[in-house]
Amino acid sequence: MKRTNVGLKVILGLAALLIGTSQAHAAVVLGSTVQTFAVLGGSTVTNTGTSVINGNVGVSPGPILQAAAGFPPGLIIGGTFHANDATAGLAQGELTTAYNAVAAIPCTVNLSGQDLGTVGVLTPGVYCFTTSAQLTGPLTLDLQGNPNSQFIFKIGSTLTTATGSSVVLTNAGGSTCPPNLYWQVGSSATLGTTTSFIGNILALTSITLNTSASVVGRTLARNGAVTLDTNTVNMSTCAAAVVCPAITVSPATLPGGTVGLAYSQTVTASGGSPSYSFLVTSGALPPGLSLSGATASTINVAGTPTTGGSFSFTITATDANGCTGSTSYVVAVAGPLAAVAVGGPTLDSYGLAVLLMLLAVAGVFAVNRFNS
Amino acid sequence: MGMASSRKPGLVFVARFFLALIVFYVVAALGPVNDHVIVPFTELVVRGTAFLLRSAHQSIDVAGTVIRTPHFALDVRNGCNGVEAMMVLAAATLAFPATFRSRLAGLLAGCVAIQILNLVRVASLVWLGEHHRQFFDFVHVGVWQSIVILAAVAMFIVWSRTFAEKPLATPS
Repeated sequence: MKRTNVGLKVILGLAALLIGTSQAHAAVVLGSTVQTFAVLGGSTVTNTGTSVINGNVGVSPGPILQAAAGFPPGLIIGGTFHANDATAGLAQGELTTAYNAVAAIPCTVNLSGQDLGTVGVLTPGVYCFTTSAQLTGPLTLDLQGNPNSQFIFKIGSTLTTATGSSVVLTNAGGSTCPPNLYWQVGSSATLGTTTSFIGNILALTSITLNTSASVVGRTLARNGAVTLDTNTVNMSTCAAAVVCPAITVSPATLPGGTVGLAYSQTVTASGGSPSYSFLVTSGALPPGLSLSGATASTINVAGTPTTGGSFSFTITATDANGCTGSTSYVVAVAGPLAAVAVGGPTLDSYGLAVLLMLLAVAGVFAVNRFNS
Repeated sequence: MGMASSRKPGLVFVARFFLALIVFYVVAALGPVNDHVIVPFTELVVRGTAFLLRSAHQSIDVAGTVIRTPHFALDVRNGCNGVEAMMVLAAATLAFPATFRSRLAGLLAGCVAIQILNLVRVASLVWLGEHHRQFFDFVHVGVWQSIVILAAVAMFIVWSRTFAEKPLATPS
């Protein structure tokens, strides 16, 4: 019985591990419908004052009659109000999928107990708060030149910003609304007065934007209300929102080559959305080799090396969503073929004859001595 | 007459020696033996050499039977595997009028010793090719061949003098 329990635990553990692994590497993409929404509520969307929403506004599955309170004076441009219609329903379904996918991504840094206004400049990663998160003042996100850099903030309960707080981008590669910046909020998000916020807020319950708070991105609430008060919510500059999965470039190593001998090795990208483009992003291929023969997910490092030595380079694969993965290689190229010496026999014919003769003579003497 | 009889055991040894050698060569020349024994054994020699060189922190790469270093490559072919030297020593050991058990022990010990020597030979040749190319041919043809010949003869003499056991005399 004990043995059975242990076996069961092992099987369940392995299953959990497998499930966890596949979730961790699943691509998280805001669906094509929810991407068009700047504001989406679960119960109501209510507005006070002259809010300007750039993108669709919607409610689902909230009641139709209460849904559109405050529009006007609120203004919707670049979209319409979807009051519990099929589009809003579809968007809510996609929001749930994205919320769960983001929730499944493992943390890289735990910021629990810290104010986001004091953590300094953050680089791409998955930042977690066990319970609530607070932003007081500016928070700077360094995209390191890649507009597709992934920032995920996973917050166990509430997200609150103080008056005048802001999210600031640096090295954003020209992006004002990075597609992979997510705020996954376990209950409700409240942005303080005049807060300047960036990113996609995916809240389980409600989202409240206090007076004159602005969001470049999306405010998407699954079950509760979105409450607006003279705000700006603009998703028009946001690229298609994608959470980049881990893209693997394999194999991990490439074999060596020889000057003058044809060389061909296939490099494969996986984990993202085909098709992939491949580039040497640092170092250089050995002279004579190049990237060629690309398919949707492979490319060949092929050619005939012309120079011996050790060559280091990195191949980066970029998938259809702009997500990248790379592997660094060191390829040793041996000298030209003329330097390949053919190992001579352990004994050539002369050596063999000498050995035979010596052993025969030694044997005769040894036998005579042995028998005497 | 007395002189002729004292030479007889020696002649018997020589006859057995060459007979055993002929048998070994014929067997080794058979296609299936070559394909399934000699060739894999040669690859084993390549891998053993690679292990020795890597243990000595020599940067190498193995492709088939070619061992590559950054500036040199050695193709280890069938004759480089020490099998021929092993067969000659084995033939002499088997031809010797000792007990079967001591001949078998001598044969095994001799073969292992020749193979260890050959691994060191190939590894040293690769190392020389990489670091002192000018000595490669001399050491390859002259030095190592002499070492293998002398070692084989010495092993045989030591074995026949020290370890070979006489068969029990048959009662007349």
